[in-house]
Amino acid sequence: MKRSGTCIAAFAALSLVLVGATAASNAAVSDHEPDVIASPRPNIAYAIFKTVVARKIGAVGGMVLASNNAAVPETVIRIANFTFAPPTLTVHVGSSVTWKNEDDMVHVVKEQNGAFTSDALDTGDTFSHTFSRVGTVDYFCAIHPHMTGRIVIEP
Amino acid sequence: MDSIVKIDRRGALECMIWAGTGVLWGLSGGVPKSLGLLGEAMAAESGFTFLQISDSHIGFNKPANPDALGTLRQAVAKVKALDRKPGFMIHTGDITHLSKTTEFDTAGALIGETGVPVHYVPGEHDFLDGNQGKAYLDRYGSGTKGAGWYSFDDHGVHFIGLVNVLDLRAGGLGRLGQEQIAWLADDLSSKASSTPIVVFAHIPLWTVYADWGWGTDDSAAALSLLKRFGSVTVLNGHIHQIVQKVEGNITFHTARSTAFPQPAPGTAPSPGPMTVPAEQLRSMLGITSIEVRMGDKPLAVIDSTLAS
Repeated sequence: MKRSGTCIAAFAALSLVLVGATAASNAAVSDHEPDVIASPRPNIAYAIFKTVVARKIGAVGGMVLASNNAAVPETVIRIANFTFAPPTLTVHVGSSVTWKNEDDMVHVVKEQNGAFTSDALDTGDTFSHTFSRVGTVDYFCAIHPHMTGRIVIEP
Repeated sequence: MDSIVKIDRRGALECMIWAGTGVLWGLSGGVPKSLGLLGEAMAAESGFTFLQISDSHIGFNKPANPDALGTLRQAVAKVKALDRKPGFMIHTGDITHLSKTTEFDTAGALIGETGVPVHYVPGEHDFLDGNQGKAYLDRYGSGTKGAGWYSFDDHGVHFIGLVNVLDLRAGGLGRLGQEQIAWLADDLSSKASSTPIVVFAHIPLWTVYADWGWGTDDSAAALSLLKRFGSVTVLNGHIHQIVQKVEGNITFHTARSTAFPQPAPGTAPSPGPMTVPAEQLRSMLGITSIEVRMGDKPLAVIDSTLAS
């Protein structure tokens, strides 16, 4: 719990910086992700906080991730060239996943049966969802349905 | 993918041979014809022409065309300048880019400047309001069924506007749905087989390229209902380029966009907006004129670009 508390404090501090530095904040999310996974009890407050942070990133919009793919954290799914990358992503329960649209075309992230649906994501927009149950979630682009992807959620 | 294009071209050439001079097509690789020239050539056949415009994407501002409103304005000017006023226009969807109220307002006002009645069908970009297309249907849904499909008759031709952009399924293509297909069966039941039919919808009603989603999953069920008719013309948009084929009694044709081009099937990593040199852009955008001919002759479909 102390570790999670530290995370929250760290993110609280980071959030002040986030609005002006999307790429840096994404790297920060990556750095802290293992802490969440290692936590014996996934910290819901932390997950919610991360979602809020992600929304802040989304609100900034228009910014492009660093071209170096290695800098993209594993919980970010890039939408590029009408594909989801990676097409299958494995996360631990409680993780938040962020989709970022890098195409010059609008996309809509939708769970196969409509359990969650993003707004229309224009270039640079992001959408985040927290996965609170173990299992497999299939999703697609609601307006380009040949675009499909999968999230595998492990304990 | 090159082979697909070649097959289409070969098929189109065969159609021209088959139909003699009855079909006048501006092929995607061919010479665009101006509507002015068309007007003279067609006047003897009948007095009735209608236009197709498509994929105006008002609100789009990416590098492929930072001024989609400007190119629609050019298309509208082209319509206003026609010697022969068309009976009406059809707009085969993606009027807007993001379904915003301002985008619908802007597009509607500009297209309205033509003074020509317009029959719309929605594209997937017109149903992005998160409310099952209410923004579109509040404007254009009056008198329609379901998600906005309808039919009407003009000059002895039965026109059918279909909606294949709603409630799409993961891994699939465009979709009409059982309710709409049942409506279509009922709509056609009272029509004589000699009635010329024009069907228009946003996403192609035949599979142009499944890998890019360019087709409609359940279109076969709709097309089977059209087999008994002597003349069927299917007009679509969505792919921002001209592709056409003839299969039995059915002529398929897709129109150019007025906003931005998209790559030929399989020639790019994705079907997204294609950026071309600015001086080439208008030669890849355009509108389509359709001449209704009497008897069993196929309709004449002639495309013209904004550059011509």
